[in-house]
Amino acid sequence: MALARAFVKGETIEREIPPYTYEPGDDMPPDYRQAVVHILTIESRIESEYPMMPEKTLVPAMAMAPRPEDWVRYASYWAQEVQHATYWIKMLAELGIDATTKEFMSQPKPIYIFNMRDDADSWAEWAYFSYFADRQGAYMGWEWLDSSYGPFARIAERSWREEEGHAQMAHEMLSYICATPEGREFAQKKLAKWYPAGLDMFGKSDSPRQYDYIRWGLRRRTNEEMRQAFKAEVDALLHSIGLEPPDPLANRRFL
Amino acid sequence: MAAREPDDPKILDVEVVPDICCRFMNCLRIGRKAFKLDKNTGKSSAPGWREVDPALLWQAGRSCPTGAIRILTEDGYVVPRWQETDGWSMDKHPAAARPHDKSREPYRGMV
Repeated sequence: MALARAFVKGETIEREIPPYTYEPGDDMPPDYRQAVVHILTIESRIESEYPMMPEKTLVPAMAMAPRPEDWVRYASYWAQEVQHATYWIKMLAELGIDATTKEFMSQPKPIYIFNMRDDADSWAEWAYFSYFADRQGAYMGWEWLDSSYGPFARIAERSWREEEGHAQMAHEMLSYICATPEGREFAQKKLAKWYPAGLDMFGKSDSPRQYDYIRWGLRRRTNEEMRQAFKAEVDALLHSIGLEPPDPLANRRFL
Repeated sequence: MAAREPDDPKILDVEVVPDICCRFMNCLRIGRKAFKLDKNTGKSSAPGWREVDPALLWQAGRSCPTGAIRILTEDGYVVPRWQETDGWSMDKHPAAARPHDKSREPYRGMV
């Protein structure tokens, strides 16, 4: 098992912009504004697929769900994600960007795990998608508590808590699959594919942009700091249902 | 007329409908002391709802994906999840722009 990598903690970086400093109509430094747009573009591009592309985000899950109970739970999750999509669309609109156009949604997905969801071939893969992607969404929500950008600060707790609920749903899905030896064996095999993608969601450890974001009050932790916290949480949950986390450096694209 | 949070109606009871609860557990994280998980059924209930800020009860209700949380108030019965959805408006969004003097005010529902 590889040892945890050394990393810089966000708390060691001095914050320059206090909480709730900017609202969308304010004059703000161009780099800061660009950073806000960048974050919102990622969120909106990903989450607008729920209302705008149900053929990718809802229909396949309904076809693969093993029980009627799973239809209900998954459809409830999907409806809440639809609501989330409207947050980002509104926030971008207030910065003069229309995120509902074909052009906007034609941009490549910014995080590759979302492409993997489109090719998911089983309920186990759908479970892993939410296990990793929704949990990472919760981590991002937590980053925005006391954000310097007012809209992020106001949506932070809600986004954090609701995405945690989605990750809880994924744990329920995976627990059901792992309740039989055959299911657990199948899930263990699929984990080798999804685990590296989950850890890669936090980006490169040495990305220079992360330090600017922390100084500007747009997030609180560094990429590797978040990844290590995420890994510790995920590993404990996987162990609790009899799964063994793979080598955290195997098949990774971003270190 | 259904009760609305901004009217600040007195809460008389909080229920989690077991048949609708799908174990997302948002309520347990948002209103820690209010909600409790039954380990046998995996469903939550709200035996401690009097011990927390009512704002947390409303938020737990809005964040319950299935709308399993029902709040009985002196003005009537409310399912916060569906009440919010019913009044969903981009302009009243929790994250929508606000004047600076109201920027930190907590979100109190789309009414």
